[in-house]
Amino acid sequence: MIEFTPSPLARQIQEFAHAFAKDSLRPIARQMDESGQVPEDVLKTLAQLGMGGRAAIPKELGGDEEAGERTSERNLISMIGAEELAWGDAGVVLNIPGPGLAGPAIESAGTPDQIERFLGRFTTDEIRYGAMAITEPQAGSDVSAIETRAVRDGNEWVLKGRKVFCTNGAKADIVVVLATIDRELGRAGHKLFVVEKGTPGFSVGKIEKKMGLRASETAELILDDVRVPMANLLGGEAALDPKGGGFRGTMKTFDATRPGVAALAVGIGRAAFEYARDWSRSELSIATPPARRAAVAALLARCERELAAARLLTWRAAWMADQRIPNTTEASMAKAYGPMVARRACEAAIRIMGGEGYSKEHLVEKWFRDVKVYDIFEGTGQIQRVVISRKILGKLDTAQAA
Amino acid sequence: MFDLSLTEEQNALKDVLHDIAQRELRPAARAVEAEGDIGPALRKLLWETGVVAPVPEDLGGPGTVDAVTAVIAAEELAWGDPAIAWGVFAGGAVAILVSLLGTREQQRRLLDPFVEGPGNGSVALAEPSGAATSWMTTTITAAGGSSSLSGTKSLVPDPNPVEACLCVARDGDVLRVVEFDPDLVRVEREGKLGLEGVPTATVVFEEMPVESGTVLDGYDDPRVAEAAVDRCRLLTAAVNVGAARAAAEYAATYATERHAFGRPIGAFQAVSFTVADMAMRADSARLLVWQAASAIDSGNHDSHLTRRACAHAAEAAVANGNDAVQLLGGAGYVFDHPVEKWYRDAQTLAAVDSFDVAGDAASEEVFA
Repeated sequence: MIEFTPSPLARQIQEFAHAFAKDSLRPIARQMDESGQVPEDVLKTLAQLGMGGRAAIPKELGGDEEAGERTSERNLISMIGAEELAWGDAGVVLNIPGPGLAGPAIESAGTPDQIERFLGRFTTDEIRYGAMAITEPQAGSDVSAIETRAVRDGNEWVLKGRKVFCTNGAKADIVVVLATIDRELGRAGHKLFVVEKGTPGFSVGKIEKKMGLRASETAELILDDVRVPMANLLGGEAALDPKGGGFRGTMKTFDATRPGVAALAVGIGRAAFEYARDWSRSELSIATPPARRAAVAALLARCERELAAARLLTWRAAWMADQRIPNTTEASMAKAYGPMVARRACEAAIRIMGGEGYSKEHLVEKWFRDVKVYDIFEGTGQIQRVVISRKILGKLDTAQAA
Repeated sequence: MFDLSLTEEQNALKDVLHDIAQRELRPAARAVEAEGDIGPALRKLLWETGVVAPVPEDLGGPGTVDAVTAVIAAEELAWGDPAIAWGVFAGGAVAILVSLLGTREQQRRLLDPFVEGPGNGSVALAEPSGAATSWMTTTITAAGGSSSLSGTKSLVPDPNPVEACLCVARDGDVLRVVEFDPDLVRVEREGKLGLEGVPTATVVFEEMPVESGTVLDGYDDPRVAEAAVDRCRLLTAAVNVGAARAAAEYAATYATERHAFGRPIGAFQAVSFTVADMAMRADSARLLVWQAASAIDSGNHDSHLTRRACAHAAEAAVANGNDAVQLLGGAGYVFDHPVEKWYRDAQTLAAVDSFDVAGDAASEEVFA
């Protein structure tokens, strides 16, 4: 039966995450943006919360680590938690200890043994990271254009190539690398390999300087004849079957992560909306020209409703995942819509506040910088529209083109 | 707990209504538009579904309909034709308001025509400058021992050959629903952009005396009246969702069939991205409408949820109407396809329930 109120458990987690975001993240957001560092004690708290990708129930709430796995609303709860944390600070969310994007990739493409071997290390309260390396300088949205090669040599694979834009790539214990075993095979030749930190030939290149999300590390990774054992090919020998493989695993990863990325964007957009609303309440007086008040009110109301719609799109996609209903289209809708309207909310907040909007005295300029990338990573807004429209229109014959 | 699954009954109803929308409403839409009348046969068919003018069982009707089921029904029929759907729901809203707000005596007197058959009702709700209840200028004023009603209502289903006419008005801080006699007010028939199959009027109340017993007052808490009026507003929002979805689906089908430059036009991203955006607009509007309706059903009615749902749905219907006509090109502009009509229907509804002028701007409480 249709119902929009989250469960008591979800609401408890929301309150908990909100309090943490408000008390521990928001106050140091500016400092983290400037230093590019997240304080050790904040990371420790985040690690203990077990929020790293698995939406476990905080122990403080009487749950145990597995409770999050058992609940029938695991995905929905991650949406709610993600929005609250991003409301506090988006940069810090990408620093939450845990496997990161490597988690869903290993879970969806790995064998049970690999899941245990590579993800087992993340069950402790230690500060450890995983990372995913897909993008290359010449292959962004077009994942199939990757050139990083994996060549078999006896019981080993030898990887060679260059990966960019890897979140937490430099500090990760393990990195899941997408490489091709045969470029002639196209997507069927794409396989996922787990590379451990310290493997000879595996090094960190440039650390990017960015418009926003400066507290998050974005690294270039260089693979110079890196040798990994056979057992590090995700999915094992079965992955060499042309029908299975890396590309599909990568795309499945996106079904799980895209709504979460959208929820983070909604959290940033909501932060900006609320800030501009509160600023307007205190700064716009009776003396403010009525037309300006009305314009501001309409702009704020539009942001509020678009963010509400975006939130429901992320909840829908997550609810479907929880119900084990295929959600590729809905995940892409959430991802296409959420970052778009969140970015609009941040832009509106700056314009409403005028000179104070761009000032570093307030966080709205930072949110504006942070939110932009949400319409880019994990599939640009354009790629989401490709996914959505293909589902609606079917695969159209383009071969007749002259 | 958050849940988007329909009940078995809702799914069954949706199927029945979709079938009616496809087999009866789509083919009849242009004739209804040309005639300026939905006609007795279609009215009866839709009345028999039990959703457009629901009367409680103890008053001889098929039973009331919860707000969520009502918006699901309205979307489905509007998918067939927004004008026909809006017409029957705007008239049937009399049954909703009287069931929820009337005294026993008022219910017996006013609901009879809806028990016997597809009674003609008329609810005067929208105003020339918008339907937002917070901006409502039609008011009840008390002077001496009597009170009177003054104000102007737009897009009122033609109150002339009608058994029951109701007007929603502001009385101080509360909303009231008042019966009115079309002979005591100025009724100006509207020629209009869209919704041409539904005759409507601008109704001007000039100190119309409010007789005792004509104000629906079978309830105690003023919030009950606000929730009841919001149910009616959400039906219009649901009609917009249906129009938005119809336009999205129609344009998508066309994009796979129409060829240009040697391929289906949907193979061009300028077209396929538009198709994706249309689907997102319809889906996001539906979720906001369901959320507002669900809040009413669970006793947590919140006018803000209704307002933003109405604004979002109106915007989705207009934007999708435009995109559908655009994607069909010249074919979309002519009567061979229904999209230009849906676009006009949506823009007509948006005039009095608009997203920017009357919707978002009325949400001044976001910062006031």
